Amino acid sequence: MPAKVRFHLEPLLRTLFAILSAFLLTRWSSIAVLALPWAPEQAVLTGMLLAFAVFAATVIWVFWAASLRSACMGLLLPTLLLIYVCYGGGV
Amino acid sequence: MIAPLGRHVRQRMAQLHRWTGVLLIWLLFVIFLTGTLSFFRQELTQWMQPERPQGRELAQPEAALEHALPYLWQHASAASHWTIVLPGERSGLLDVSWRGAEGRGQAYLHPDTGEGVQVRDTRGGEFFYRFHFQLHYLPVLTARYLVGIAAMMMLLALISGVLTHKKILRDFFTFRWGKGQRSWLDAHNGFSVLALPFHLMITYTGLVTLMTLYVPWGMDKAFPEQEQRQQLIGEIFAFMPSTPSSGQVAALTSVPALVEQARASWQGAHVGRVQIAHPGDLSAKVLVEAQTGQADRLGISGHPPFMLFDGVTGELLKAKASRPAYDAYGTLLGLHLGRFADWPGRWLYALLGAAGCGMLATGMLLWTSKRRRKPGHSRVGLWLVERLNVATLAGFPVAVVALFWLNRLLPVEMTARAQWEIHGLFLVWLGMGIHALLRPLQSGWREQLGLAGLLLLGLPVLNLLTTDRGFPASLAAGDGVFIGFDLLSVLLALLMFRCARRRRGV
Amino acid sequence: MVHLLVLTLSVAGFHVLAMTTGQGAWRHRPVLYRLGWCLLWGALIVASVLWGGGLGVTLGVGYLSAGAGLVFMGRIVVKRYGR
Repeated sequence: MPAKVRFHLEPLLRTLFAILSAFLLTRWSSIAVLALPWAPEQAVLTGMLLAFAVFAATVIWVFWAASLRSACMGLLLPTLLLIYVCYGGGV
Repeated sequence: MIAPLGRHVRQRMAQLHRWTGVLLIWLLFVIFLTGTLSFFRQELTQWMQPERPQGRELAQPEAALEHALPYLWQHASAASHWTIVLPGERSGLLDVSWRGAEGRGQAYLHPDTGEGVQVRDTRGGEFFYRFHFQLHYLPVLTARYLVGIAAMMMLLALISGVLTHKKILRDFFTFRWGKGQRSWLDAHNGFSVLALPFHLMITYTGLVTLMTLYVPWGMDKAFPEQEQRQQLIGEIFAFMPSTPSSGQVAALTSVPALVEQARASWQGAHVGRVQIAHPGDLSAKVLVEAQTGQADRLGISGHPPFMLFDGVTGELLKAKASRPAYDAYGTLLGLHLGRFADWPGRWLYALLGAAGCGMLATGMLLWTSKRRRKPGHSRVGLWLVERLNVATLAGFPVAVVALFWLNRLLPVEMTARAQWEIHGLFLVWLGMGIHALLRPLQSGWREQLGLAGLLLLGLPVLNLLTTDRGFPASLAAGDGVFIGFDLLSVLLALLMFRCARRRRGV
Repeated sequence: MVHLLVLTLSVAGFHVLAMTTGQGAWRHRPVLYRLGWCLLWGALIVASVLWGGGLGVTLGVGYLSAGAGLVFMGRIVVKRYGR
């Protein structure tokens, strides 16, 4: 991709990436809380109460990072962890 | 054309702040304004139903049960579900309602005499409360999602706004009264920073109030069945279980005794609502809920404690559970609703909410005044944005005041009166929108703000002419709601005139 | 009236703090600075002691915001019409 196109496409890509990653992380984190050693209804409510903070923090991070690539790298570890907890038999 | 992202992190935060702030700002302003009014939900209902007796603190609101129960036995003995809302300082009336196979009904009774009181048909403060999270005319779920998206954008705008200006706390007492952009920036910073804890709190807790709608995944995973989820909700909220009637006649136990039992376990807190399912049946249930607004006894939780009793034996079946996550949820909800607050506390809430409206309004004006200076900016887009600013920031307040006028002017016996008050609000708003499109910008601002001022100034006069609770009478009776409404109208009218005058220089 | 007391403390605190940003007060600046913060903490402490726990902190923070707002607006008015 030519540098100039990339330059103007970046805000759009970041926005889409921010919305998608924030949605997925929020979703997975609100399921992953069930792995906590608490009563399920306590864990569920805690997850819901914190969900909006997860969403907001993810979006802020995506725009905080210097480039789209570093934004992706920063989210890699929490994403893998949450996927493992949600689908790896933890819940 | 969207500008490329800045190289510096502060620039990117500023860009995020601008876009999350601007996209839904008109919706947010309307939500904030009606939400602020909702802190006075019951007071507005009192004003909009001047037939109600003046609200006063009752030593024993529970004594009103002796009027409510005979009334319900007489008028609604066939109904399957009764609800009794006991009178309080903020309502003044005993509210009984029922529903069943033969439909539903509702009546207001005088708390002392038990006689029926006819009040005009209006949604009162309830309209603003409903509107601020589910709007009007739209399907409820769609509107709630829309409000949720707007609230999330507001949260992002708040956080990115703070991150943009690190020094903001240090230099906000130096207000530069220049013309144009700089002074809007200072006003915007002032409104935002001063009430920042409130803005963050009200936005986050606003999202929390509808969290089972917005982030249901954990709950769906842990409790796949609808009944399980209802059971969880029933642990926190007073929720009458929907058991069918048994068909066998059995005498209803003494409800006042159950109420006393509940009060004894709530440090003597007053009871606000009593619900009875299947009265006179073997499967009768009685649900007793505490009144909100007793922070000294019940704390600030938005979930008032409740107790569910067997309606025949009087046995305690369930009470509100206290667990860490439930209490955290209750506290966040309570902070949003502000029902724990006494009247100075409510005014404080309203003042901070008004700062929120100011923050949104000045933010939007700042955005347009910046764009106006840029030579390359799209003129058509800017023209439209400026018109929408007028129609929302000045036009919506006009429409809200028009609702209060209609409340006094529409004939009391009119059919669908409550609906027409609300249609009236939206028709006036539409009119303001058309006016804003047709008139030159400065005239639009001046005329609409001036109109809002005139209507506000006229409210005390209208109230004096159409009811017997005008300013002198309410002053003599010490009626805080009516005195406060009149004084606030005049004060806001002066503010509107002030804004209308200042608009020339922008 | 606890409401009034907390609001007064908060307004006084922010007023003193705002004075340190003005010109001419440079000699007393450290003293005023400390006094201002003491008054603000005082408002919060009074609120949480007299109202207790959660309610106190909630209303206390609210009155701090309101106090800051009043001082801010007051300074605008004085600056605009004071001359």
